[in-house]
Amino acid sequence: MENNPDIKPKSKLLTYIVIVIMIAAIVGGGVVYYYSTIHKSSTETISIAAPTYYSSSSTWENFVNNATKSWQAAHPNVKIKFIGPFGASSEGNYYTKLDLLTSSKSTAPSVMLEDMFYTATYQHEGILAPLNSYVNSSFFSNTYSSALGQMTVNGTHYGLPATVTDTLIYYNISLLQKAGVLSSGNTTWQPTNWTQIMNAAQKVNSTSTLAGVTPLNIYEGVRADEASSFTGFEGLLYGTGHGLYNFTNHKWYGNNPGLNETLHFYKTAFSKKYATSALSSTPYVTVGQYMQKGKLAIGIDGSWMYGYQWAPGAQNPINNFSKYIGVAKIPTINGGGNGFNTMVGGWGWAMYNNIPTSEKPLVASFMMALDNTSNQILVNEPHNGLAGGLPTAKSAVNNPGFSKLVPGASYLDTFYAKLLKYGSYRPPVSGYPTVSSALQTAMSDVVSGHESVSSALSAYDSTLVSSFGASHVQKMSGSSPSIQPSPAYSNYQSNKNIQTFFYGYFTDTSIFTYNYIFW
Amino acid sequence: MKITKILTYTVLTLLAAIFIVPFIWLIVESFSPVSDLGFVIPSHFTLAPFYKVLTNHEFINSIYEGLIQSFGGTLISVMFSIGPAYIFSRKKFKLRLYLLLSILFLTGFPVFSLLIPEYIFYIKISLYNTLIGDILFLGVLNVPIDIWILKNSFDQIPQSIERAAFMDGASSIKSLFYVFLPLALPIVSVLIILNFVVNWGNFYVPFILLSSNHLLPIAVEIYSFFGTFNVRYNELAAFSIIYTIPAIILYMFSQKYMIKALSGGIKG
Amino acid sequence: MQTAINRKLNFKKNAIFLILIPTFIYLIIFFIYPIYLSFKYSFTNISLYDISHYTYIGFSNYVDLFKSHGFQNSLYITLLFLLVSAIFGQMFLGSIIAYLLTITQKYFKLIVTTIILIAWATPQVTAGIMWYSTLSYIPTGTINFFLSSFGFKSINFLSTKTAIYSIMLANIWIGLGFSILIFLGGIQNINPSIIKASYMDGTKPFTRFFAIIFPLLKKSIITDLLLITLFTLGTFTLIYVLTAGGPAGSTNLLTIYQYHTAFSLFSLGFANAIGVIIILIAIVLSTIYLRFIKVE
Repeated sequence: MENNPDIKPKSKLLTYIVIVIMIAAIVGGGVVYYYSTIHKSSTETISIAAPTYYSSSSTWENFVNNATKSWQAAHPNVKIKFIGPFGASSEGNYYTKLDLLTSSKSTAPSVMLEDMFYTATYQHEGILAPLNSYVNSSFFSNTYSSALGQMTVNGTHYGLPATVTDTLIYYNISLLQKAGVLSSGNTTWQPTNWTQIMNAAQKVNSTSTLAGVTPLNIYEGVRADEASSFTGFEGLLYGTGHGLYNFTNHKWYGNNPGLNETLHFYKTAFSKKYATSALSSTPYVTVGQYMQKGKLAIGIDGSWMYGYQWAPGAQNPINNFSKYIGVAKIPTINGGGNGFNTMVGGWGWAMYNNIPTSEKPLVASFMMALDNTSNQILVNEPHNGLAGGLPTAKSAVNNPGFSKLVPGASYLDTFYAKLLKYGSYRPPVSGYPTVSSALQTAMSDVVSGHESVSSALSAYDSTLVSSFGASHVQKMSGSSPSIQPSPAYSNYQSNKNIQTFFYGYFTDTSIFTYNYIFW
Repeated sequence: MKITKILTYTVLTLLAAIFIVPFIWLIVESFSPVSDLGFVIPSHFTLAPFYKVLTNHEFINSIYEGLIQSFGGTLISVMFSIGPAYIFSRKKFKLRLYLLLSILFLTGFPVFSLLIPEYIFYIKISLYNTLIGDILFLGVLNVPIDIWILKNSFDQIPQSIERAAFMDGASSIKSLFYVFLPLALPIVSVLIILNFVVNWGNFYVPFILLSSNHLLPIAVEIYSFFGTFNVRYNELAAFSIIYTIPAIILYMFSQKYMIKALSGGIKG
Repeated sequence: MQTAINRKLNFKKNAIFLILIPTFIYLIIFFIYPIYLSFKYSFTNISLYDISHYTYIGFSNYVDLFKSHGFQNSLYITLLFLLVSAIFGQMFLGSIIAYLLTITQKYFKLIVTTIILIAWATPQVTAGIMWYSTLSYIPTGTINFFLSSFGFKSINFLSTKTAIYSIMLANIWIGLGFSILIFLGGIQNINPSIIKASYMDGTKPFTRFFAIIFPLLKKSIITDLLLITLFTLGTFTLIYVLTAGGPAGSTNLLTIYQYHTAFSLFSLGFANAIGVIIILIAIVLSTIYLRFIKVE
């Protein structure tokens, strides 16, 4: 023993034992704590799921508890539990995790906040409970139809809308004035086609006093995830009169003139150094700070930016916002069609279908409390889970809390709300996350100069073919370059259409039966 | 000779300096009053980020989850490793070399590539998103390397001690428990610490096998925090420091033994 | 010849082998079986949309894989990453640095070794975040902050051209400590009289290292190479946090490519085929290394 340098038992042994005991004590304490918090017995539990990548789960927990304080007081036997799902660091990730949670009764939340465009998919899977018989009709009649329609299938309501957001252009007023895009004293800029955006960026780029300023930000790449697909790419794409999905034959576009034009816009913007990939692949926070600090002139971004970034009390508040940063609508490619486009997304509360029928009225009453007009305003307030969104209740505008939504710049609220009529939506089809991911790859290949637009498009096409099968992908067929109302939007006008294309889509597909996992 | 010496010292000093650079942002940002992903010298230093992190219920919970999962995995792997390690160290039998080589191979197995089949397997047997499933997988990953480390350390404990016990009529199993294990206790304690730290640092196992917020350990919590829309980077940095310091201390403590055991090689 | 007592003794002697059974069962269920599964699923079209229904499609995943640019790119990046980061950066540089450390003063050696080991002990998630902020171009990261305050031009370390070097650097940073420890142990085991003799001969320091010490480290080198290559091949967390495979796939290591295929494109069959290829690379490399050990 004494000769062996590896084993020195006497002095060190004690240290090890002490450390091991310490760890054991900490863990032991943890176990006790854990079970005391998780396994409190109560007669009923309503579990809630919401996306924690938007804001932390404690924010959600606080919101839910504040919003339903009086409801909980009236129902002392009901325990409210927030279950995440956590670890979802992006939107696509949240869907994946929610799918898995809802695949089993034991893990499924009773109430979930879901992206509206997923309603039809989930409804088809049988995950969502119809709410017509549990929720007062006055609740529905008080909700804007543009929001409610997205959560309604065949006249049956499957969710209570909580928020909508849209996308727009923000610009730094003084930078545009210095570049000569705006005459001094003028603060309003509204491009009416893509060329005007490009020209403005070009002017900023060629102004020598503005060296070091990034003229344009439009999200791209895998790292920015849905920000690149939804906020960046699709905002332009749907302004070409083309979309991602053909609703008449239920096929994804492997190629179409709109995809081509939009990728060309990206190529021009990045190859001429109007936009830079280093900025466009960073999180919203950085982009917001750049515009605020006068390092970024024009940014295509979401209506949530103000609430997250610039409102009083947010991370980097700006006083007298309207003096520094202006807002504009995103024009269509050549000003045709409606003239403008915005990507509308929204979230709503939905009920899990497989909870016992006897519990449904209780859960529905909880949801109504959670989504009443003042709580719709609360959840959209700065610091809360859906900060920067707009409430969907018609009565919200008369609520005294409404002005709190966009504190310091209440005109923005009206601006955001007026945008909604130009709205387009992501195709509410289960394969969307795959398509979104393929789009991101195509964007970054073009932006980095690795591939030409046409080869990026053919790679996009082959990813779609290998994911969905050739029979679900439509190659370019002729061209219809004129601007029409975007197909997704017109389909939303009629719920019957949604129903039809869904059943059509699902009955003729073999890969995406998207069923439960039985075992 | 002198020039070589000066050169050596310069090169190594520079190397050490380069190795410190990545920590600068982490430390400065964690004491900064404002949040910034880039490097900014703050106007003043504050403990506020640490305070905010340590009073956040969600973060505290993730620390406990990290402790439970890391320690659970550790106990399982050490428990399952002692016996085989003893046999590989003391007994000669037919398949010994082959088994040893396969264990050595599993030691360095590219585990990440197994997570996707494991994920499907877990969903099918309802272990997905459960604490025990996560712990069992964390545990199994360390069994090969634990056997390896223990075997190499056991090789260095002189056989004469058990032989004496054996002469007295004790069976192999008895000699393992009463004579051998007490001698091996120091290395087992070190191994416990080492396993704990490895599990503590493991990100992808819980990232892929868990989804409920109350189950996520600190490693995944930090990453999720990094990805949220309105990240507060100063709190992120403070939280990362709280996560990192125990790992570094415990690692330093146990590394020496691990390397000695690892570089023992195979004695056929 | 054997009496009953002898047989009983024999059993008692061999009963200890029963200890192996639970461990092997545990390893088989949670370790070996998933290896089998990854081979099995790689021949199917299993998708995350529906994991209970799939059909066997033969080798078409592999055929598609080797035809796809993404995979070719990813394979190339991974092999380059292995060569530069593991073999050159960690093994080769590691052995030189370990040798240099042995000829320095005791406390200097302790401080430098400790700093290098701290990097090795840093959890990968933290390391990824730290390196992101250190290398960042927009917003200005630590290195660019110092570059610009000394009047140099900022460098985009995470652009499509440079990101691959950045992840190599970060990986060398985190892995160097391991190699150095192995080599320090190896050098200690060398008979001091051999090194002393080389001093007597007046051999130049570098010749001394390459001609005398390096060959004596053969065992450490093989152990180190084996473990380092396999660790590096399986690297995910650090790179995933740092670049997520971007920009434009320029740091898309096989592991990250596999993750994206499974959880963004939902193609589990494809992802398993990528996993199998990672496993095969690991088997080939370790067989080569293990051959050296057998020779010994």
